[in-house]
Amino acid sequence: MSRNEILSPSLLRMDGRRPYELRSLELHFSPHLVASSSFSSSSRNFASSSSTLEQPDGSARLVQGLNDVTCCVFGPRDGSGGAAGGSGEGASIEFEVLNENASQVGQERRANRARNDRRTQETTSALTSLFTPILSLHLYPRTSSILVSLLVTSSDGSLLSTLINAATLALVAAGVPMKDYCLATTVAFHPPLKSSHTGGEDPVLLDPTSAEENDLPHLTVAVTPRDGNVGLSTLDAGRGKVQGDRVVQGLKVAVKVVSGALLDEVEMAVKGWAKGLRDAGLEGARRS
Amino acid sequence: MAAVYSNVAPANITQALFPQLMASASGSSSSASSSAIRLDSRSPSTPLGPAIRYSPSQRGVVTLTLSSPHSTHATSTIVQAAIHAELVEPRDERPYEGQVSVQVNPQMALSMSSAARTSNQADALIADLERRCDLALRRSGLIDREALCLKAGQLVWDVSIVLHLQSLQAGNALSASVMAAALALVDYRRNDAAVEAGGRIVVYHEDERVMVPLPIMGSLVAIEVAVFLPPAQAASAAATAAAAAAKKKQNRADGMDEDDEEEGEAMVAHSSSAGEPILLVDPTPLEVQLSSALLVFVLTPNTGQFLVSEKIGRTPVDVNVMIKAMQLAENRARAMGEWQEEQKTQRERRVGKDVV
Repeated sequence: MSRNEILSPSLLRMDGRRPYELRSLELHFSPHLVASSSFSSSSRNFASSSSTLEQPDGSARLVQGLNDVTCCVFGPRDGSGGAAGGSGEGASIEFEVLNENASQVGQERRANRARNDRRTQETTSALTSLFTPILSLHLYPRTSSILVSLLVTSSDGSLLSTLINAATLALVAAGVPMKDYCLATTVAFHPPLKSSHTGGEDPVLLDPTSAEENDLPHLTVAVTPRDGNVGLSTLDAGRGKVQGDRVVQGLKVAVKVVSGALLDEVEMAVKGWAKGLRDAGLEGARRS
Repeated sequence: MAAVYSNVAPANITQALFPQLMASASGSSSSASSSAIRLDSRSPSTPLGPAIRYSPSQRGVVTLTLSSPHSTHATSTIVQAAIHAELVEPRDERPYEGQVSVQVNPQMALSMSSAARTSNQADALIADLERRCDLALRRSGLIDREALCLKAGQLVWDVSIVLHLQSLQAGNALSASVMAAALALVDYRRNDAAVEAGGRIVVYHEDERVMVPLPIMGSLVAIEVAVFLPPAQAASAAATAAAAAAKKKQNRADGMDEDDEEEGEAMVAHSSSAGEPILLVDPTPLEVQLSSALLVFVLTPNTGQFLVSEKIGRTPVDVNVMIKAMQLAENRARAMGEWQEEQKTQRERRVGKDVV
């Protein structure tokens, strides 16, 4: 019986990528403002401009391979600043991950996933502790709160990275001041290949799909690109263990990728969006 | 009391604490971390001392105490691990594997904790502990689940590990839990059972056949490292005021005059130029709360393989600091592994004589 090879001897992965290749990235800013109809009806319904649903202050949709995450930011707005009352020095921030109708690649669609299962809670608390020091929440009054709502339409591995990136973009779109972008990527550790193509180093796979994630230990790293500091780093070794130096290697690769290729993409997208806003504003001013 | 999600400790407290953490390090930057003294008189790399007590009547029940070498018994972390195995039907999707379940019982620790600790904080702490214990004890290969299978598809052993947290005053609950569980698992003996010809399953009583140990592969240790980042280079007014306040306390001067302010500035500049991040091994709850970030590791002591390597949120930290922390953890893990081995051999020796 043949098994799918995660990495062929000629260094090709199951979807034809090379080990250090990211999946295709699509960054959409404020899809809730897009007037023309879009085919992703689920995300539009979620943030539609119908009177029953509130308009988010900023939103972003990130499509990374088969990962499709839409993030809506509501706030900062007045409200009971949440149970924890914020960090005591500014607005409180709350994350919410909606995974209910997500289609997971490689698994049958389950009808009713438990809303607050443990994994989602862990993800939410990780996101909160990650973003709280990066956002300049002290600029807002203590009674205000920001709600960041992440809707997962489809997931295919490296979901936490995609959630973090989508949240960063949505917060930028909402105009919440931040010290730096917070971008993340996931690396998977592949056992050494028998052939000598790799040149002596054990292969590390960037941005694993769910098939690769299920079989290999992987490390999700969130980095603030400007200073290269690590905001979050979680190792999921599955049933195995990872040698210390490999974890170090994974960390360094992740920081390099985030500060390099990923940052370039995001900056390009943000600048493009900002330019679009400016042009639209100039157009409006010219007409009036 | 800051909530557990506080991003950074209130800036003035950290900056006031930081010079004191490096109290004896005037002038030399590299020896700063080695000559500093913590609040409980430990040095930054001194770990908590473990002490173990086996239950006198049952095998597989272990109480592990972590305490600072200088402090009193009251500030220690005590975790009791109790193991129990019984035969159950396997899960449908995994007919060849036994089951392992990990349960954390925080009742006693929570009721003993100080009133200032909010229930949110405690809940988050227990949730984190449960998750990491699950990863370390259940999902890892520590217990060989396939070896727990008695008859495929029909009967397998279900090992339940219950961790009673009796006191968490010295922090490091994960370290104590993982060590207690690892030693208890090695100590526990289950009834021998066999499948006879004809498919009948016989479970032998302890009088009939000697009890059998569980299939444990290797061992695990858990280590927490707290990172304290030096105060920012740009001396803001708050930093100056705080450093001046700390200096003021040392000088026992009243009021803040020009001289104090200048000295405060000089001290801030000095500590930031001598500013290397400080890594504290086995941090107490206060140190965790005031730290810039917390790194949690679970690894095998001899081979240095990591199961859990987490740095969740809080202040972003440079990669090299994280690498240094990992090396610190590896060194510490080796020492802890040796201590565990020693405990196991001592236990083996005593078992025949005093214990049933």
